[in-house]
Amino acid sequence: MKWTFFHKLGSPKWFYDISLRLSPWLLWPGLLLLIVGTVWGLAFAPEDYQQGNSFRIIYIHVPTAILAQSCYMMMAVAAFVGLVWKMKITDLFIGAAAPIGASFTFLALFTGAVWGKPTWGTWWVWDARLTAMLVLLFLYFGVMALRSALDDQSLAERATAILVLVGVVNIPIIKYSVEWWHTLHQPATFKLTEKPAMPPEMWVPLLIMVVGIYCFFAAALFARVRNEILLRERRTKWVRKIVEAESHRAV
Amino acid sequence: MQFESVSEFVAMGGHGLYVWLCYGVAVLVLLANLILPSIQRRVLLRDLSQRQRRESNQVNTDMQTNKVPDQSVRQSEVDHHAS
Repeated sequence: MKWTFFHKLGSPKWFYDISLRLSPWLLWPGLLLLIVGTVWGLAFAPEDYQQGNSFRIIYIHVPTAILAQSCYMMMAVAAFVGLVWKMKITDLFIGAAAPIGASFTFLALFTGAVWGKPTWGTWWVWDARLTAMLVLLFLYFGVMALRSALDDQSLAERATAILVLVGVVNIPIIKYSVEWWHTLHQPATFKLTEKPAMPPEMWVPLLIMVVGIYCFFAAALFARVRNEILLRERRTKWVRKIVEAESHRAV
Repeated sequence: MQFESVSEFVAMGGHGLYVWLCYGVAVLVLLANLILPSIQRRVLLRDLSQRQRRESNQVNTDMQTNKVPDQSVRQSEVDHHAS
């Protein structure tokens, strides 16, 4: 393996250029998949024999909940790489990912609560998984707050990375909460090792939504990382050139 | 198609409120994730370009008045960034 690739990956300018070219290829297919999955899930998937049509909330709830955790795992990898190899771009990834992760965690919690009302008869219970997801939301808020609270940049980078790594203990708790504590939340819909319990007409649109939301997330993440790069590298020649070109275009 | 009519589709077998509330909020969250980064970018570029213009004006007046650029200010700025 060539290590030049690794070093390039850490270069803000290289990432700025490549992500600018990649973004439309993530955003538009992502949106298309989300639309296809939504129409399929809302109108064509059969209704659940127990839950009726309220089960259609699954097409938002499960993809956003999966993404909320993947986003955190990505931040944890970035934090680890940043601490070990002192790559400066990893902190920009963490800063960009945290608000997106928070928004999807909120969406998973919100759709879960709305789904819970007709299904369980309550908006909220202190079930293990629900509580662990709420902790995840607060972790995202904590990362955002800590990152912006410290003036000393390298201290802020290290402190944020350590907080992200400590918080990673919450991810297996979320994942296995439905198996460790048999409370209210149902077990996983998708497992890598087993065929889903639902018919294909139900899970294919769900899979489409999951893939779509990952593409969407990548596009939104890249857009925010580019902003972080412009801010962090504002004194470099190449960013000054971009700023100048954009200000001419704006006039 | 699972539904016979539009009104049935909207009603969602009595669960319409729950289903549509979720999809509505999901659309809002996705929209926010699309729009906020581009607003952020526009504000950032405007601030940076103002800053650059200020800096180049500063250099110009320094050259006209034959003044040496204020090293203390520059240095503290660099220190702040480097620390």
